[in-house]
Amino acid sequence: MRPEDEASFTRWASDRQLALLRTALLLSGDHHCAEDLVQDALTKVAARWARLRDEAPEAYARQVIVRTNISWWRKRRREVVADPGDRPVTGGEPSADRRILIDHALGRLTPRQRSVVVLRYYDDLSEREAAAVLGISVGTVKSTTHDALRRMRESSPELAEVIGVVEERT
Amino acid sequence: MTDQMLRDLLEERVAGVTMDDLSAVAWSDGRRSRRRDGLAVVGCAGLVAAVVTTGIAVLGGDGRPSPTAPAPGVPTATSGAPDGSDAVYEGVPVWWSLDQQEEQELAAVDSPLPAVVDLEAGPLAKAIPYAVAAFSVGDRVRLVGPNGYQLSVGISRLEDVVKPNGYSFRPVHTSMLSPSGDYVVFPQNGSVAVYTVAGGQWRSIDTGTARTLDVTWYDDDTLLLPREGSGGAGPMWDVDGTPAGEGQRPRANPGFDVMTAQAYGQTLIRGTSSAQSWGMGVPVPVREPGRDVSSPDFLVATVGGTTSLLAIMWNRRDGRFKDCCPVAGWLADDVLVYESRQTEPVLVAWTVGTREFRQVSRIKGEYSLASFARLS
Repeated sequence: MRPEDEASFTRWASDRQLALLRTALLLSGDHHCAEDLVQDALTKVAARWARLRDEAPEAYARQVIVRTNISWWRKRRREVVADPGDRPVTGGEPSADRRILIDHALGRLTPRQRSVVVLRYYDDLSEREAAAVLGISVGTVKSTTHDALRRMRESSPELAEVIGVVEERT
Repeated sequence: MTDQMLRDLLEERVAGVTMDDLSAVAWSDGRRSRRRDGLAVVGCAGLVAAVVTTGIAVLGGDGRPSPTAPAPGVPTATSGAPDGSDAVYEGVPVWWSLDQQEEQELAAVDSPLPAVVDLEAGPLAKAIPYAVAAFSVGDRVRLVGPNGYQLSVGISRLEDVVKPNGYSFRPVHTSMLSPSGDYVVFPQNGSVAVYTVAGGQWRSIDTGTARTLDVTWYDDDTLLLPREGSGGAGPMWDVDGTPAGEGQRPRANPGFDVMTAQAYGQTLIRGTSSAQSWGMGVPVPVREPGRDVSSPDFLVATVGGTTSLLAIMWNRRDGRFKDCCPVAGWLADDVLVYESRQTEPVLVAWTVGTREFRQVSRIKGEYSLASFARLS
């Protein structure tokens, strides 16, 4: 490691960690888990900084977050059978209602469906880029997106107008 | 309304999120991780060397260690080898695996697999949500679930598959478990049989005249039936039985003449990384000529555009099985898991391009072959 590596890593990490946290939060639905995912990803980037600094550290970090989240989810699944519960009750502040609805809709998805939705519609990745992050084919990204949006629409009809239009465009 | 609205909803959901700065801690942990990895090699090598030296003293032919034998597992300087590798073959860096005894003594690494897979004692379960590994045991397939519990699935209902040369075999293979661990596929004559792990249902997919012998998974839910052996193009079916067009998986190509060596096991592809196991037949350099078997099995792994060769060391005190070391999966971008099939089989994790090895699992009980889901 060169002496300036710590400075360049710190600069990069300080700049990008919040964006990574937001992705991680949408993927996991849990703030503490999201912070752990980001911490884990940043640590792995730091360990490989000499190789990554001139390439695509953020893409690598995002891939670590997505795959680790799925891996952790699978480990948790053997301990807890997650039940997102019935449809949420809304009626408060509009922004809070939307937040509850989107949480509920995302909570109904499998980790891979959720990852595809977040990568495609939050991180704005192409189908090919999302496929590379997840290690699956472009065709699977397309079918997974279709299934995910349908499930979100069914679980949260209030979002159907938004999600229905999105699906027509995929 | 457009997909911008869904994007807006997602952005609104996380707009107020804040966090402490993790960069300094990450850098510190990252450096510690690099240092720990380096020390682990030395520490592991020291442990292995001590164990094997003891083994030679007890088991060696004349009771004395060979004075010229380098300590197994200890890095050996080789002139001209790039990246500190043990040797070079046809321009490809060669790394030497541990031998059978050394593999038994490796430190453990965390993985989705249990530390011990006991195919004789279980524990058995009536249902598992998905499988991380599948082992062919007689006329049953033993599926290992995420919690270590096993599901035993009888396959006597399946017919033998007939090869073009007239030979028939039981329809188990190293690619039978889907990457997600949700399905197991078996070739049949004119169809494939798919077993759904979570529900325990069987489904038959009529594949017409398509060659089923080398059926494999194109992705989590899509089957590929290569026309000409493993690798290559062929028709595909969704796991629900819907035809899914034409697909292709890359063929294994180590980039040098493999002479009489034949690829075996599955070809592992993960992003830009790939790995393939090869049988005996290529004179790759070995650690100790005369002690280690010459022209041994080897693995070729490409990570980040760099190809590395792992030569499987094989001392003569015990045997490795034919086609001993099929690749099993990736624990991380650069950590490859392979089976070490021997009297007491183990799964070994190799950090590609290093001398770092760890033990993933011990496997107790006999099995004819294994298939693995995605390990990370």
